[in-house]
Amino acid sequence: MYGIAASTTAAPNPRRRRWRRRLAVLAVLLGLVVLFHVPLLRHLGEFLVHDEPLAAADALIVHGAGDVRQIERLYKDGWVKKVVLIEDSSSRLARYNVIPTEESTLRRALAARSLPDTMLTVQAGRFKTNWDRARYLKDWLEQHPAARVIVLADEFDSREAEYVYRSVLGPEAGRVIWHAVRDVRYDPSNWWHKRQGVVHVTNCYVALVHAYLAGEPPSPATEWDPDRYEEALKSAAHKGGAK
Amino acid sequence: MKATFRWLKRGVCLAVLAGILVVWLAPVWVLPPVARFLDVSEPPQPVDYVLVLNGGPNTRPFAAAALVRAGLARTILLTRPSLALESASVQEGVTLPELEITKRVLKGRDIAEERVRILPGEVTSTADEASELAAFLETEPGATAAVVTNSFHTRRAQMVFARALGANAGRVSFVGVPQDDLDEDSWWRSPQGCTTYVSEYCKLPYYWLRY
Repeated sequence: MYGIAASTTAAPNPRRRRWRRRLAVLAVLLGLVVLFHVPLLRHLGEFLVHDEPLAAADALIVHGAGDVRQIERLYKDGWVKKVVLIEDSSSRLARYNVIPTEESTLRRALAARSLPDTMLTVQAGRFKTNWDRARYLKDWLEQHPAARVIVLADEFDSREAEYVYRSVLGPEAGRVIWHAVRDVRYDPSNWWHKRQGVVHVTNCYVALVHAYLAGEPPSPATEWDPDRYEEALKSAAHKGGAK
Repeated sequence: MKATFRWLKRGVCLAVLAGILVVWLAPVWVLPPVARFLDVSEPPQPVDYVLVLNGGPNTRPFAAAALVRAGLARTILLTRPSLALESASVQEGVTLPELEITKRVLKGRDIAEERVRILPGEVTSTADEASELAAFLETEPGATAAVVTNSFHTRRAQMVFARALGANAGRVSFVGVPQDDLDEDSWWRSPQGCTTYVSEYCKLPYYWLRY
């Protein structure tokens, strides 16, 4: 009798039981993610930020005029006395004189804040990537053997930038202090509230993984030429008209 | 049944592994079509208006100017991006906003001011730009327009514009401009290529669901 009872209330199929367990674990995990999405996303954002405690340095390295507020603060607080602008002058907008150079914009912004023009040194050239800028900084550090510098970086780009600079600078990377600059639009505590923030953080993760896995990319592909494009359009339009 | 399920599971795992292996060993076979899928641009045709989408001042306004100078379009339409989207330096007035840069490019390419029109309202996305063009075309019966954007952006733009334009979608074509330093045949080798295509593939389903 006991034998019959045992067979009718047999344990559920082990495979089904296993799947049920897996689904339960998945549901619990999903629940935890939903429940703790704020700290999780904040940590995801914070991971990209590489910021170090400030210390007095010989120069502040910047990449654009957009950093003028930080320059003013660091100068007036006595952290630096000199600013080195590494300007990428290879962009089409700069070459076609559509926009003022970063140098002229920064000099104007410094003057507007009553900061001395003499504090600024400019190195303009083809500095498209962090790898290019890091190589320049390596040369600069070799020319200034005892110098220590503060490098300004967008906060979400700072981990990738630090990795790239460390790869290029080697042991000299110890002479660099990283200062992550906050974006006024979003920060690690709220980036997922704005579409731009989500795109920015995603892009920074992709760039970071790419830097880790692939290292320095090969030289960029040939640049698009608007003059040749226009010629091709005119020629096509002319042929079309001739028909 | 049990055996079939087990084989199915193994088959899926094997296919995924084979896929990863092929991408890893021979990316040149697999990844260029991934990029080309996003490009649905058409050869430029004569139109009345050219709308320059925001987000590529290095290339898009140059292409729009070329279309006008080649006699393929009469007037360039621009939209005003919301200031909240611009960087801190733009918001503080240190650097130029995108609309100003675009206007300067057009001026630099000898496009007369009367050939440039700025659509009313502020935009924050491609969908807003599509709504602006849809509203504009309602007031211009029979007019045709070309939307100028980067090639990788044309599929998403076409999808969003088709929904916003409804019956007028046939009056709009899409002109793709290559992105600087980005090659469809080797995009995975550069961080810029990876961020561009990963980001675009993330946005595509989002826009498909949302707009």
